[in-house]
Amino acid sequence: MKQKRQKTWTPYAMVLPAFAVMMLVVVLPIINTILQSFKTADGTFTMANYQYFFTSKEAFQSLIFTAIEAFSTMILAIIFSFLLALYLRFSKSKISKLIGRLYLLPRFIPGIVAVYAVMNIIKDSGFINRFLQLFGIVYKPGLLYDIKGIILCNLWFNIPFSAMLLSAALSAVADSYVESARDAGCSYWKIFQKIIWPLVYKDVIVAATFILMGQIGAFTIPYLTGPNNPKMLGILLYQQVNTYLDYQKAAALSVLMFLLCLGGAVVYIKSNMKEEVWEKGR
Amino acid sequence: MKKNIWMKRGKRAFAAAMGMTMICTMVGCGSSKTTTEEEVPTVTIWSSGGQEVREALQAIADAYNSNEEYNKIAKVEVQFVVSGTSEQSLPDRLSAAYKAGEKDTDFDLIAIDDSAIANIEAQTSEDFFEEIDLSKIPNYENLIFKDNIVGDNFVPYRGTSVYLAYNSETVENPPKTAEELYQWIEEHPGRFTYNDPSTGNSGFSFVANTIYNQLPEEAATSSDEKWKTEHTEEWDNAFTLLEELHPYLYQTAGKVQYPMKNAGSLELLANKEVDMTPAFVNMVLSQKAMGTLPEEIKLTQLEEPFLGGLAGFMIPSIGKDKEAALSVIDFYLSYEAQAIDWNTMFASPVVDSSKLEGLEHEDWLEETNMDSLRYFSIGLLQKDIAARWTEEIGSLAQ
Repeated sequence: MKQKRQKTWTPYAMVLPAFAVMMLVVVLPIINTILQSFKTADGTFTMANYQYFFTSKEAFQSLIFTAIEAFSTMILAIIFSFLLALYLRFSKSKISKLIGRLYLLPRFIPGIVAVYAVMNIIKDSGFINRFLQLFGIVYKPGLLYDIKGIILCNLWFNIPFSAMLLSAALSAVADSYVESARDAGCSYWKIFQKIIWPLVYKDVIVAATFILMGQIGAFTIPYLTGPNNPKMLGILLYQQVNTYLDYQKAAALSVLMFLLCLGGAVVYIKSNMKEEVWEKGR
Repeated sequence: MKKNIWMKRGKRAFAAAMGMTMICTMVGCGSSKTTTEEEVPTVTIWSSGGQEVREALQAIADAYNSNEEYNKIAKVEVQFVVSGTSEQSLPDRLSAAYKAGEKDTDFDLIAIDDSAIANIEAQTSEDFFEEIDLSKIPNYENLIFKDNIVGDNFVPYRGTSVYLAYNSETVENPPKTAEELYQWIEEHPGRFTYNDPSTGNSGFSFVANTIYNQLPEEAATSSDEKWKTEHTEEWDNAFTLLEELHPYLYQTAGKVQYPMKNAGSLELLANKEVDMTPAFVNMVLSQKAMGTLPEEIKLTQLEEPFLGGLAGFMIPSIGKDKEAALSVIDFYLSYEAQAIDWNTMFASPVVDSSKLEGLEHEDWLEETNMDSLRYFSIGLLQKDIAARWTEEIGSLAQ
């Protein structure tokens, strides 16, 4: 009897800490932010905060800039990490094993350290520039304080991350599938198209949405490596708070960014819910 | 079976308790004072800012605690809020304690930049900080900045100021006036930079000077809105000048780029990507001492100096031991403490620097002559300048 009661309460007790934290530090602030975004500084209702972002040229530029940056990072990171994951999965060489051990390393290096490390290599007086000077070549890469710099730094973080997700997915592809297809005379491209891709495309979408959503709210990397203008949305938000002290506009921008991320979340959930014909009853 | 679970739980609880004990011993929570120390009151200094400020305050506090004359009066502790983690928190904590009606708090002494005082007084009250009885601070005699702008409730212990930092290898005759500087910038495209003024006060100082060099001296120490509303012409002139200078500033990736933070512009100077930039004296000197800034980097001040300020002590009315606090202020004004402050963070001394002993890089003191200190304290107008800069000048950089 006692044991039974314990059982009914245990799950709630286990969920409670996480739930309470979620309520306190995620849900409540979101509600508060939404309310604030419809107010003026002295508390009356207004739509002006939203209007500003839909009519301001700067905000529009930021949106486009963020979109270009986010999609470029996403596409490049997925391509590179997919190739890396395929190599790690199907190559049995020593190099592949070594890379398999090393590729997660960037995940364990604090972000800010990594950004400065990358900056020291790509900036105009950085490693690339100094190394080429040894051969008498004066070359300024012009990568830092530019969209290219932001993308480069983000790739550093995102390739290992999505390679990790995709490697896990590729482990679902049994050697026997590939071998039997090869025996039947299938080309590598067909194997990829008909066997590997259907098994992993969902994980590719998951990785892609994660990367994309991460870019929408990105701050540290664009702050340190990005140009003054146009700014990414995260920096625009920071500026509303720190330079203009306009908390209401900042709230409105936060809500808009939240909605953008929500779009990503919908894609993510949909692709996860979708069940393939061959998966039914598995 | 059940017993087994309880045993496991017991073990875990024991382990957790052990862990807590270990943490406690490591961070020293709870009271571990020895009986001799308990006889003297503890004076807690609260401060916020960069890590170097904390180290300097702590170094002087340690010297106080080991000084046989002073440690009979009190024991000093430093509580520090490092900026960037929760910068708002010191003023917030003070106003929270004040509004809660607390009396005997451990906010015995606040060590703070004079520019940050208005903010605290706005959140609490005009008389939140008590008048300081100078007769009980013998070393006040040493002070060379006696008439500070804040008032009788503030005793400065350290100066801060922005100078023009330049590479002496490439710049033989640094500009002496603001006009010469602007001319130099136009003659040497791409070799000057200042950081985005909303991200650091060294860049802000350059921007502010374009306005305040045109205004009467008293404007620099006033937060009165009239210096903006009644002087729109001067403001417009300043921003036109900044716009004219814009294309001659540091460029990368084919466009002008304003670095972020004070450290950002100094880094460009260190890498010799620029030859000149406004910078905080103590940042330049600390970096030179560490070797991250080359020896050739020198400091100079213009005839119309960049902004400066004082950091000092204030005694909140809610503190508990005000008598003991005075002895701590007294010690921070001693020649010994001022020398420690210089050696730890190259803080500009507020006493006659020729009387300091055991200084590292003594020759650098000459470069940073505090006589030229130009007080700057304009309250929220600072935000207005940064905001207008972001709109009109920052937006050009694309």
